[in-house]
Amino acid sequence: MTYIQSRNSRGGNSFRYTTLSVFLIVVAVIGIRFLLPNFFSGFMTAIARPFWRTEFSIYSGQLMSAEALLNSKEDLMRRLDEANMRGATAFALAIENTELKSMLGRASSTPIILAAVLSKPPLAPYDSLVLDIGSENGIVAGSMVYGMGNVPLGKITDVLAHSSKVLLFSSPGQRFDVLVGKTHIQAIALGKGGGQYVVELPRDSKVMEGDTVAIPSLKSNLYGIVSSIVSDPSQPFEKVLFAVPLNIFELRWVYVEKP
Amino acid sequence: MMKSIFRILIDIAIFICLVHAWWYFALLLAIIGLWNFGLYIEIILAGLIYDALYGTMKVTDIMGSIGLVVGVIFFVILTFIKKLVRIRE
Repeated sequence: MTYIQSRNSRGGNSFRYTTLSVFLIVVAVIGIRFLLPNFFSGFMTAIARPFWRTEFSIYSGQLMSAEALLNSKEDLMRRLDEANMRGATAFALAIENTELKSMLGRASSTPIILAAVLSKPPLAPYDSLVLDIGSENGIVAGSMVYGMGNVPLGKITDVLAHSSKVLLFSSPGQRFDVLVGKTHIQAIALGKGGGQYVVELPRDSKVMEGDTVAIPSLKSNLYGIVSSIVSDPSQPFEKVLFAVPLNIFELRWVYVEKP
Repeated sequence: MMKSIFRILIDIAIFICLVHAWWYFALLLAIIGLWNFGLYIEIILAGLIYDALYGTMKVTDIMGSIGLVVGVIFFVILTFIKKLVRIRE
């Protein structure tokens, strides 16, 4: 008798081997991540770091011509003078604030360190930043990260020798207490990604677009600015959307609190 | 020979995309690779690399393994579809 050669058994075996190999890879990966949590992260970051540094240097203008650099420097000096003039008043107020807190025994003596943002994934499931400082600079997991103007951005979650990762407060699903508007209504903000947040408030809370959002602490750092209010007459609550007052995707430098 | 070179070029391109966090281009390239080459486990490795570079959660949290999970799902689904629509590899 003549039989038609079956392809199913061969294809089935191939599929079975493929599935088995994938399963083994996943198990191996999970096992390594359990035993050595920073192994993959440290290894891959060590490979990627030179690329990130090069990219950062290019964006910082290190490959510009001397003439372009001089022009840029003059422009920046002029802007710095203008900013200094404007900042003088704010600086005096900050000193006064520190002195008053010091008199009341509440002065902050937490040192901060400047860090370059090496990478920030756009449109990513991970709302995170990679910084160029790590455990060798005295950074530990849990350190607060601030943007320019002392805007709280996130917390250090993973620390490697020469780099660290920051989980932004705006990461999807992150929750924390905030004070919204002129009347400082306490509420729980929910991260929506990319520096955006949402908070639910009663409809008669009288929060307006442009109102400030702060974190409940003595520092009263500006946390965000209300950008939009979504209100439905049939609902007792309204959604207040707010965003950090700086562009997360253009961040080049941040401050990290040292323990 | 040409196919091997093409595969290596796609792998390099995926790595460049991952370093720049352009996960959408990396995923697109990985799907092209998965469709054209047999046993394209690079898609799983790409997910692993993405998690290692940008993931901030620990292994106990699924949120720290999004890249790996997406890589495995695409690998299994496309391998299954390839098996259905192709006579032989």
